[in-house]
Amino acid sequence: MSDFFGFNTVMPGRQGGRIALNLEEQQELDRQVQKYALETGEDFEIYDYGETYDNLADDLEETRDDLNDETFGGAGGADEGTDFDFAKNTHQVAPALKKEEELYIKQSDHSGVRRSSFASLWENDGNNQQESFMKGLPEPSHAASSIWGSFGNTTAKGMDLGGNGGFAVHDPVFGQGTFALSRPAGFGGNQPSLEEIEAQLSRTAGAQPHLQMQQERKMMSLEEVEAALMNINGGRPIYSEAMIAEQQAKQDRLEQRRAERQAKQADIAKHNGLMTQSDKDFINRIQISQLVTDDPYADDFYCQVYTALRNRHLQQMGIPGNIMDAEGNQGDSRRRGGNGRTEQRMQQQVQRIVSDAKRNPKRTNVTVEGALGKIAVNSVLNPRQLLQVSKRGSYTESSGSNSPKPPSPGPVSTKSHTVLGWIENVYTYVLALEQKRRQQPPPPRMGEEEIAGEAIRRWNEEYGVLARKMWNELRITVPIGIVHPHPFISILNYSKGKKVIPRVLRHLLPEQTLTLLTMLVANFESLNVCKSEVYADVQGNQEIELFMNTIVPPLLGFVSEAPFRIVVGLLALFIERNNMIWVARSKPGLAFLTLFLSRAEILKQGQGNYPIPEDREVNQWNELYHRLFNQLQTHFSALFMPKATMAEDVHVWRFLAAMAVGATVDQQHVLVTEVREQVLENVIAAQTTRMSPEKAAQRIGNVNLFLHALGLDASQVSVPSM
Amino acid sequence: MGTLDSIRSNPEAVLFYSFFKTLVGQPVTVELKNDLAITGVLVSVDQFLNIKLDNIKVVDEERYPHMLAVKNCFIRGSVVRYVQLPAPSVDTALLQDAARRERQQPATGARK
Repeated sequence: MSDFFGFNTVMPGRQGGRIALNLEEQQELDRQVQKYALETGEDFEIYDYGETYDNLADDLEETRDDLNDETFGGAGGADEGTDFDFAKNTHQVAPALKKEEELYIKQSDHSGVRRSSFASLWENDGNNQQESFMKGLPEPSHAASSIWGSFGNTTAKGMDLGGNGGFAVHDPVFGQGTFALSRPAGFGGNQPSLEEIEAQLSRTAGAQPHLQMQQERKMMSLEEVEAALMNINGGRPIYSEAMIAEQQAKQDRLEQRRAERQAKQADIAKHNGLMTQSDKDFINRIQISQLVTDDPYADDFYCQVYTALRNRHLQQMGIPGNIMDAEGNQGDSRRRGGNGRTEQRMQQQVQRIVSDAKRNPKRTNVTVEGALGKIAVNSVLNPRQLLQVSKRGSYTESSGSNSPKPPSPGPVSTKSHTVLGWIENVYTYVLALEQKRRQQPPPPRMGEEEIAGEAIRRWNEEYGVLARKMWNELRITVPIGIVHPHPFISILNYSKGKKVIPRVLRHLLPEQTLTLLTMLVANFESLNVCKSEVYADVQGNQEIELFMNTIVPPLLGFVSEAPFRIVVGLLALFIERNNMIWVARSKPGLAFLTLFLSRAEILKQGQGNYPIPEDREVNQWNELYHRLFNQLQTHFSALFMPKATMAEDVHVWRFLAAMAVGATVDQQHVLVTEVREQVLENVIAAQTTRMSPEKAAQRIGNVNLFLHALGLDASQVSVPSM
Repeated sequence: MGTLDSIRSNPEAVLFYSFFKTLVGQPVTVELKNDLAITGVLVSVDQFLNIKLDNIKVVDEERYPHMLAVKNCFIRGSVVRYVQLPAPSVDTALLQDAARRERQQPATGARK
């Protein structure tokens, strides 16, 4: 073919396969090559192929083509040349295309609402329409004129140029620009064509509709401004220019922020819908299966109990509102509402996963057929070990000692680790008992008593077994005198031991509690909190506080329910076995004494739940009292700590009051005489206002504890003149 | 060969996870093994003790200027050295009990 889109394709001087240049042209060419070689430093000699043509083309067989037509069928030589006539074919289909285009425009007019929402993803309240035009996005509604152009013109041209009509479409948007672009006219040519494009764009596409939109926007926002003004100023619009400008600025900022937010949402929404619900469920199931537990108390103990305790505290303190809401301190209402549904779904999923897991338990090591060993499957609960230490000997020992051994009948040692071991065993049993409590079977309903009764019986048995084991572990029944201090006392000497007592008491029978109390009273003076030097150091004080907070209150409750003879018996034991002067010096000792004395008084006066005790018992009591009094006589003032703070004194005053109630007149006289100094000191200190009113009131209150028991009052005390 | 000996379960992992779950919403300071210490509100924790923090503030700001603009972070559990927590949020007695329970009955990792 000799015509390539209108270009002459004949190579310069090509005849017979060899490039023939006459002499002049050859010399000129050589000179130019040399000059270029000098400039660039390249060696062009190597590129001179010279007579390198191998004349292989002469051997091509180009005959015997007579039967080509028969072999290949009539080649497309029927039309003019072998080119496909784009223009003519388009011309034939043009009417149909026009109709389709009109239909499309009509459709797009109807679906204007939908399109505007789609457009708003890209165009943001019309602010960026300007930009969208610059990017070259043609608004569909503006393609009123045919995008296919005028076919009459192009067809004629196409036929003239012999087949390149499809190329020169007169596009209303891009106009001549397209035509100019596609001609590769070198560097210089492109610039004018770009400018041409821009001119076309601003001329045809942007100008009018854009202006219109801007005007509309300004008018709308003016209305908005007026409305806002009306609202803010209570119905009367203020037309000051500054206000209007402010409002305008505010509106602009708001719109800007809204636009940003929508743009971000659109960015995220671009990737919506990649996963189906089943995909999401699949992944959720995998994640949840790692977390799932069928007994939350067993696996998730701390969290469950902690939240339960906190909710109970909140309820007690009367926090208004639902406890469940108080848990999520980050939750806003949206999240809570959504969470309810998701929680339900999660629970269902969890149940499903639990049943699945129960059916097919996964193994921690996998054995593949033909492999030479097992493969350990690592999970969170079975992690890859950093060190691999082989323990052969100690393994068998340690595996057996998880369950606490029963107390050995032989000599009981009181080495610290032994005692601590006992305490840990007690804890084990307490925890087991509390767990059992939680699993208590419900009381039987009518008609189901048989089945439920069986479960209840079994539960009671197991509970009893554990409780007995715990009781044994406390070493309370060990006879006195074998070891000093008594094992139970050794337990109580540790803070861990003190802390466990209130929990133990919840699971003990009343007679066991009594035995415990008896043991404690019998060996009281060997308690470490009973030493008076203990007051000096901080840790000792902590232990005393701990004792007062953990052991005294539950036993106080017990004694408050006890009958008279028990109180008498306990006090008798107390006095007999312990040095009262020593014991009375300590806070716990005084606490117990006060406890016994006050309870006895209440019972004597018949105010307890029991009938007034018989004379015999009352006489016993009086005897005891006198013994106690005689022992403590002349030591009463020494009970007061030398440099004690306010709080320390209270228990002493309380004890004195308890003593005073049961005292005869003479005894009372003795009491007053001994304690007189202290009373006066307090009253004077309170009256001379050196201290704050609360402290003064406290001092007076303390003194009155004692004085009221005598039938006196602090106001009656006359300050002796100095 | 070594794996046979080392098939032991790790019950304390569950205890720590349970413990951290109660601290969600509290301000904590996480010190990493690379000495970076970050304070923030605990958003979430998972079974691997990976930690997500909100509103973070690096403890020693000058040494880590690249963290100035970071608001939230996800910390892989294996790089944590310490987690400093507010004392009132911990019930120590309950924690002791939970630890005792873990010792006696390891969380049923054998199930997995």
